[in-house]
Amino acid sequence: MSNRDFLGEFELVVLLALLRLSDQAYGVTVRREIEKRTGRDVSIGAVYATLDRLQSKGYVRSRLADPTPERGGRSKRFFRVTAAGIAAVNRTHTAVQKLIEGLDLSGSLA
Amino acid sequence: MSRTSNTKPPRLASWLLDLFTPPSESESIPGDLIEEFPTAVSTLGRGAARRWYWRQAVKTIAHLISRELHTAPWTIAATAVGGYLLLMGAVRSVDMATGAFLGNFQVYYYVRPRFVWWIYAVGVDRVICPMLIGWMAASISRRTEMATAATLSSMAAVIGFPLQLEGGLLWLVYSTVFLDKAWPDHPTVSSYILAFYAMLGLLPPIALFVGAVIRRKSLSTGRPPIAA
Repeated sequence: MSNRDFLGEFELVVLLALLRLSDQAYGVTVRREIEKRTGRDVSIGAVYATLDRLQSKGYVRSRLADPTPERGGRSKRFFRVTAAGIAAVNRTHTAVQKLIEGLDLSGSLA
Repeated sequence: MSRTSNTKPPRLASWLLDLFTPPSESESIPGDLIEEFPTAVSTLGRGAARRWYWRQAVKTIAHLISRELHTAPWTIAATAVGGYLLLMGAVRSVDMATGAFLGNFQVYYYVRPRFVWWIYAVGVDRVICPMLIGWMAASISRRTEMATAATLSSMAAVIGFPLQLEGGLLWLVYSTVFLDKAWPDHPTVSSYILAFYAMLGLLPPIALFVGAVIRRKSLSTGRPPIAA
């Protein structure tokens, strides 16, 4: 992946949620973390679509755990951010910071 | 109501979600929603939790279809267009073959025309042919079969439904403008005919989708049941 590749807004949100959750990151916890921190009601489908995209870019990797009865005998898929993913977060964050630097965001347009 | 039935997610929503989820995610996505449902029941109440589950399932299905469409847009488009053209060809061939058969063997002499019409125009043209083509389209587009089925059914609905309704409208105009004058005692042809034609127009898209679903179900084996 090119080192000029920047993350989309929701991709950044999902990667930051994964980093916060560390080794407890799977669909349910990621969705709840985003909801708790941003107040956004996101669907599990949106989370997985983004995770799938991030995985194909090499920014996250996943593993399937054992099935559990409270999930109807289905397994959890745990996600982890890769080194390339952390680099992408840093790159995007730095770019946004540089764009914000010196701006007056107090609310007036003039 | 027992605690178990309280924490069971809506069956139809679960079934639809299972249907659209690719095998690689058949564990994680439905499992996550099953896991969250009891928490939603305890915080929102049963009715609101069921609505929440439906919302999650519908949004997730939309994301899954959109992802499949992005993965193989040309394959899906080609299969859907090819499937629709094949359906048109098949319907026309069946109509011609039936016409020839009825003409050669004078079937109307022995069987009521209405009965024959129900068999070939409804049963064969609008149910069996579309189901077979839906099944074939799903077989060709492995891994994107549900996006293909949704595209093909939508095409059949968008193109076929107005044509069918137009047929109903023509019947209505014919009956009210001409038939009333020529044959005052004719049996009433009411606006119910429009509803009937609408039903005829909806049959092929539904049958296409059902054919694809049957194929999809035959491909997915060894999954655990949805309910906890």
